[in-house]
Amino acid sequence: MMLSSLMIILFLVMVAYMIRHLVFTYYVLFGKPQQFPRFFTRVSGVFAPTVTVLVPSHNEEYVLGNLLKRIVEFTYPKDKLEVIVIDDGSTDRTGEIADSFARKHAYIKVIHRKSGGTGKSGALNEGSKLAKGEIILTFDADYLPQPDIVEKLVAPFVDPEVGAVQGRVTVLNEEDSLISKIVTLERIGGYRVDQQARDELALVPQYGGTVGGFRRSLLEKVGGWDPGMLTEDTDLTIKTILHGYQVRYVGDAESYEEAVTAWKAYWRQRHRWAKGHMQCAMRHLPSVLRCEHLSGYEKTELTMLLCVYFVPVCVLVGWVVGAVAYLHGEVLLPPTPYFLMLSVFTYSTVGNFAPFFEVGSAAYLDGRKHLLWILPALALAFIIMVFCGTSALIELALARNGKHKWAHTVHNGVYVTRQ
Amino acid sequence: MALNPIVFLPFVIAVIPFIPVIMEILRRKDKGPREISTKTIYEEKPNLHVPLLERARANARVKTIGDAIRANGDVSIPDRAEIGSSLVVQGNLLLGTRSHVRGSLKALGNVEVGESSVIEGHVVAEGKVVIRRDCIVKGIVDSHSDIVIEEGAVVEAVSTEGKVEIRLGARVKRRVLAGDFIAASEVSKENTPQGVVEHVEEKGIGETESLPSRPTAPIGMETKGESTPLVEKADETSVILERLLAAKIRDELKMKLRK
Repeated sequence: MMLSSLMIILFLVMVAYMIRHLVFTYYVLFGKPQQFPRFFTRVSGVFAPTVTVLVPSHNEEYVLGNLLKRIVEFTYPKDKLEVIVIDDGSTDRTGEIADSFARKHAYIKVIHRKSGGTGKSGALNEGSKLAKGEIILTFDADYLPQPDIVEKLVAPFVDPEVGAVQGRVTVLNEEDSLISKIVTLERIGGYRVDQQARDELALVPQYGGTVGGFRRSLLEKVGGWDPGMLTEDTDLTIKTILHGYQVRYVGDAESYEEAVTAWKAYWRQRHRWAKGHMQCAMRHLPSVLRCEHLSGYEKTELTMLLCVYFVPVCVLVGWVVGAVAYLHGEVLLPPTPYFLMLSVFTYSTVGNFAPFFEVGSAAYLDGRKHLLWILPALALAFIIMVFCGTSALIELALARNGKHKWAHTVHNGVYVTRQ
Repeated sequence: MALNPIVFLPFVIAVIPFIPVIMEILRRKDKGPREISTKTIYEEKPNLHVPLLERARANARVKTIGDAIRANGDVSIPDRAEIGSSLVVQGNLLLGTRSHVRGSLKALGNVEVGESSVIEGHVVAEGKVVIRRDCIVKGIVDSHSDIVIEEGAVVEAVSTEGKVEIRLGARVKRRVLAGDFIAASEVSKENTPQGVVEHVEEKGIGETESLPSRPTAPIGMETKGESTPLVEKADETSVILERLLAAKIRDELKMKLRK
């Protein structure tokens, strides 16, 4: 009986997430905006508050120069722009490169942290202490933003309800390997469909930690980036919402990133995301459910967003329970609930259909049809996530002191030669 | 064969994710005095067509104690009001004359800013915006619908999907952007706003209308009799046009893809 109930719960979790994916995809394909109009394009370029761009860098000598070169080309008025590069305990030429730019451009400042390298949050907090802008934007060192991205990202702040914004991340090195192609597909699906649908459906787009920013007043109120959190971006998104502000997604504010190209790096990155998300879920879920000023559907969406990395764990449990039930000779046909096990067991053909559809639609809308043939490879990523998510949950449960090690993603700047 | 009642369990459990929604729907509004943020002005059903999800979100948000004052329904603020923060209204907003708002105004309906008022921030609305005479808006006036800037009013910039009417003596410091057309009074040729109009819609392309001469100002109201430049930074025009043209093309493509 207990086994049956467990199977049913797992099945329902899968179905709920599948419906979520389908709703988002159908909305982006056929829907009309529910959210307050996207006035961003109208006010972009006219609204020019003071802006601080924070660039946390830890051993980024191959990529930092490229980003700073692009920052110099920004079309945003330089008298309203301040750039703070935080050399976070780098042991390579990162600090030197940043210093060379700071010497030439007065609006670029560099902070050298000797005790750095322990995480992005610490570096960002250090930078935000010096920040003077009304709006604080962050860019990772391996990113290559559009020259007019600042105008686009600050535009939503005309709305007094907006506390944070998120731009779009596009993979630059998709041709490098199968992994980079998979990451490209994930990014396209995540931004072109997921974030856009969440924004226009008056749900909760997520601040992704880079290519986005906050009102400085809000950051001060929530205490900045929490160094104890592995996904400080998700943490800040939830805090923004809990403080009564909105997060908006600006799809045409694009920045290019260097995607990971090896399975090991992919695992490490996803592992950190999974662990951080679960950490956030444990910390914020009670507050979200109790929150007075969130509507019912926002609470539902936030719950699903926070619990999204528990889904792979559910899949693994489903596999194990299903196999055990089968070996014990349970009947797998209706009316016994064990027949539901088939759905869980075959998650990658039933439940995964929705994400496949989502990613496929996004690639189609984005005009990148050449990537569609690689869609089946996403199954690999899902299987990896099953073990990655489970491993993250186990580690999180075992880390009793609450201290988690930050896993830095290494960027080798392969795209520099292609510029 | 008797149906095992356990088959109904999935349907029972399916309800769980929707418990917050059900709670929201069933929450009684007449349970006696309910704690409402002291900053809320008053609450009533707005006479507007607001999408369901947006309305639900706004209804919930009104309970937050944040930096902005939030109100559901149409709001009317008396004359000479002093508002220390931003004001967000799900409905129409009428701001009394000679008021002072230290933040921004946002409304899902129409906005009317009373004569000689000062807005430190922006005015953002989905409906029609009327900036009465001699007002000062230090930020941008943005609307999905029409915008009227009356005599002697000064605003930083104007943008809309509809039309903009700028009366004699009104001043837009930076940029005028209209989806339909701009109607301006007695604008000198070199200051014609045609160069900064982006026509998102088909009608009234490039049209600049002349308005009837300025009505007499009320007694005691100071007037400014000369026409003032509409756009000071006309050199930005080409960049703006380029960007907006790109946005227009993208929007058209989106529409085509959706069809």
